[in-house]
Amino acid sequence: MTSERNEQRWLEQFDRALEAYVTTTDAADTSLRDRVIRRLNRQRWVRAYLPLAAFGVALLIAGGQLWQFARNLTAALPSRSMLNELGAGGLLDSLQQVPAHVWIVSAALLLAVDAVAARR
Amino acid sequence: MPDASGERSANEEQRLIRKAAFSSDTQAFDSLVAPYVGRLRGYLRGLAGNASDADDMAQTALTKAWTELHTFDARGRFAAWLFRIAHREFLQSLRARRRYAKAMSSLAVEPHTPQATSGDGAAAQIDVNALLATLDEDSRAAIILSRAMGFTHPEIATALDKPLGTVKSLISRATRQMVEASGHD
Repeated sequence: MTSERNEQRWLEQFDRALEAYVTTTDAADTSLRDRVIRRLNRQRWVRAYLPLAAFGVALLIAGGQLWQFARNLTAALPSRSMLNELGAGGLLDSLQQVPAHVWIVSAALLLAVDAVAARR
Repeated sequence: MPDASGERSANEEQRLIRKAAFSSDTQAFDSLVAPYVGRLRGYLRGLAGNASDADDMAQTALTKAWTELHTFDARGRFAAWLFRIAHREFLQSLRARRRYAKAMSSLAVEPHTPQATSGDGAAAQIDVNALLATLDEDSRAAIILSRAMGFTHPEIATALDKPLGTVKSLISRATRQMVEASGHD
């Protein structure tokens, strides 16, 4: 009986000691919370803006390459005088007289036909 | 032992969880975890045996809680879920430390062993740290959660990811072991 009482008393003392051991100060708790929130805000910022920045860089690279391609293409095309010499000046004049919407509708039709063919 | 969340109602807690999880509101998350941070640090200190490692673990556990918050099942108690993440973090850290100690011993270099320190509060006459060190990790966790954090057995089972029966026997065995170690058997 005495032994049980001693044991009980010791456990009560242990609980108090354990409680003191795991008790922390408010200042240290707040400091940890601040560190965590700063870290989370940094993470959130990176997640929100990194894809946007990557998209911007990709757009710049793609734009630059498209510009370079257009310049190369223009340089490779035959001039008006060369076409006249080849007797193709009349053909160019005829093509230029075709209204813009005809080109657009034709391109759209071609794309549609291509898409249907690809699905089959 | 009062509830770790104090006076806050379950509805208020649910509101903060929704706000933090679905609106990515870090202030709501801070308000949500504020009542538990002290106990989380204390719990990890009891497990790790020193304050600096415990704070590192608590910081990582809270960051993980933020990213996993959408997986929290509203039927359970938030504290048990949070302590489960912290316990997992402790086990991972322990495994990493053991791997490090093994690698160091193979290089014949003395591994760093953390020094036991007392908590922010004054240590009592009983050397709690030494007594806790005699227990294995699961028993230590179960004793701290049941005797100092006021967790119920089902909540401890959730936090430690163990069956209820195992938790009960862990607590009973660990209590006996500590009493014997103290010389009061």
